[in-house]
Amino acid sequence: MLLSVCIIARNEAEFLPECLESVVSVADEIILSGHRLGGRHH
Amino acid sequence: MSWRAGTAAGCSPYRGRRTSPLRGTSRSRRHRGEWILSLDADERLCNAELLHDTLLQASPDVGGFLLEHLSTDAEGNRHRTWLLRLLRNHPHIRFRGRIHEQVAESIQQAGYRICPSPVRLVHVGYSNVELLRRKHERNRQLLLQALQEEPDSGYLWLQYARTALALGQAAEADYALERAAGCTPEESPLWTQIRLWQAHVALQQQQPTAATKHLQAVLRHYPDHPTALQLYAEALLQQRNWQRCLQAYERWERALAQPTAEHLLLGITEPSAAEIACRKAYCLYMLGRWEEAESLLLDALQQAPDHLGCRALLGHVYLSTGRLEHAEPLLADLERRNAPPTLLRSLQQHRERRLRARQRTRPLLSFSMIVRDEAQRLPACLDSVRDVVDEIVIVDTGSQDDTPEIARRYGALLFHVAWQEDFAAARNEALRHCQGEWILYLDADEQLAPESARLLRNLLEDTPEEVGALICTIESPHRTADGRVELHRGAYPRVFRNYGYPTIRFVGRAHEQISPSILALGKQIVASPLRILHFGYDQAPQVLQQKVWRNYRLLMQQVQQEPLDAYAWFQLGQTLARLQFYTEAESALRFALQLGTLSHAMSASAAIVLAQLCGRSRRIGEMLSWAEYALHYVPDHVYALYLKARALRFLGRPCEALEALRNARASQRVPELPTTAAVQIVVPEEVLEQEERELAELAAQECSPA
Repeated sequence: MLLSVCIIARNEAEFLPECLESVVSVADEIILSGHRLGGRHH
Repeated sequence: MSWRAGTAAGCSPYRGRRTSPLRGTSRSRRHRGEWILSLDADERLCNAELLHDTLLQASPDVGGFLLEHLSTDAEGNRHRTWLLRLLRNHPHIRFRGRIHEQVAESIQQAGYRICPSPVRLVHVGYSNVELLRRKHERNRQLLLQALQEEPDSGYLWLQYARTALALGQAAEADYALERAAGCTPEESPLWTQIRLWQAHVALQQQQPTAATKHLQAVLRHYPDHPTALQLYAEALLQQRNWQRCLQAYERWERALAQPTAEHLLLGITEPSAAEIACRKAYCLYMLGRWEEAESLLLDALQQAPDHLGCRALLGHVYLSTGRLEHAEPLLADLERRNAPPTLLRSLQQHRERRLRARQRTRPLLSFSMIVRDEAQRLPACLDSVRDVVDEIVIVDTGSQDDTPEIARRYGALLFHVAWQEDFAAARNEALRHCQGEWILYLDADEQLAPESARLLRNLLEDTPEEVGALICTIESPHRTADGRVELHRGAYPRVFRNYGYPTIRFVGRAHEQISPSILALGKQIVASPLRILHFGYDQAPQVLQQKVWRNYRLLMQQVQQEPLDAYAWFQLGQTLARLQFYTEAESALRFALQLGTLSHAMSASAAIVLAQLCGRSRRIGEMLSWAEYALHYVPDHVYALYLKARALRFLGRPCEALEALRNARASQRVPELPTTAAVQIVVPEEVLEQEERELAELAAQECSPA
């Protein structure tokens, strides 16, 4: 496996789709880290 | 392709957030790839295929790749920097730090090297102001926590300062930068960044001199650092030093075109091409080079039609060149586009001034002169101004030749008065007859430079009410006692508003001045790009000598009448030196300085003549003191720096001499527009060059370890 992409995100759902899209063709795995991913009521 | 979501277990939010995916976890469990790309959610990878190729071709000793990181701010400036975000998956390669985490050190410690790559990330986030503010606020809290653990981290203090600035807390930023500087070794990359931010803060607080100090320190190590050059240009802008500012902007533009790896690691800001054009055009505009400014702006607006700064400045150019009809639609358009109020207001005020000027009933400009037996040189002088002045007023003080005839041929109003051994009296007689709103005066052996003649009327129309006179640069070749020719560059107010005689009048029998009466009215005397060419010193030595004796006579009368007139004593000192009465010259100059009423520029000039006199009688220590005295008043005075270098050389201190000489050359390369009356002697470039070569040799012997 060549490339792991780790994306740091926190309540940033609006940005995330495009970010994922930009790496999806090259990443062998994508790891999302951050607190309560997608939780807007944090 | 696999997907996993993780949380930074057991940590407060964001505690070492970039670290957590890499920290203490086995590769097999958390990251299975050979390489790890670390991204924030508001970043985008631009060129996935290049990333793939980069990794396939990666040499085994590379532990991390620098990615180009681009972001654009609200003003459209592009920030470009290199970040280490693509890392080899290795147990020892770890980000460290709570925030603004760093990884480079761990790569090197693990025995790998860092390599640039063509891979590019774009930062898109935070168009939302409130979100951005919350992010900065959060970063501030994290940085405060981190600083409690590491109070001596220059890096953390710098980041804290940047965050404080983003939150509009300038004083706190200032303090943080000082702390940062205090714990960072000089000349490290971090030190450079700290100095740049210090300059930035100084400029925000309108302290260009302080900013320049920081920037010169950076530019010594990185002569083409784009950010340093940009900030340097802005400092010069605040100092209204348009010529040097333009040059700095041009250097900046060149540096941006070819950033070095070092510069990219520090990060650079690339404004749009229109923004650069706008800044350069502003300098050109202030220098009165309106045609160049206009073509630069028109080109820029073709590329970026919406650049408000360029549009507003173009409006100013149209107004300054009397094209109100071109300016009107631009102004209306800026109003429609909700341009920033300052931009709008200055253009509106400018239009008001031009409209008022159209209703003027008085002539704009009178040309005034006093002459005697000037038939030879008068035509060239009058030719240089006849097309731009509304009337010519000439006072003849007793010509025997064709002077009156020539004056009439040019349509001059001619008046005759008897010569009373008093230049001011004769000039005031001419002043009385001038009708124009402004008065320009020249001597018969002077000419207005052609480019200044083209500029003059528009410049006057544009000059605000509070300005009473414009300083012109007078360039004249002088013949020295040993027959050499040196160029003197004088600065005198030769164009002034006509408030009516005797409210406005000349004072002084010789070297008469108009400034005192203008300053007494509370009006300003400001720099201008106007240039006058003086040919008087081409004359035969005996004619010149006669003039010097005449001045001596008049000045002696002047100081007898007004013994506390420091300016007359200063001129008398210079005249005595020219007549080779060196001891008397020295006394007169010392007395002029003791009176303490000379302007800074004139004090410097007096000290320079004293330094020359000491040098000629080989009192080198005194020569050095006087040169330094002059530099105290005018820090970048070319001739004072040159004399200082000469003195230090005689004293056997070649290293210091070399530094002074290099400063002299740097100052001479781009002369400042003078803002007060002054005289600079222009040392020929080849003389300075030769001197620098010799000093460099001497200094090399001196400074090299024995």
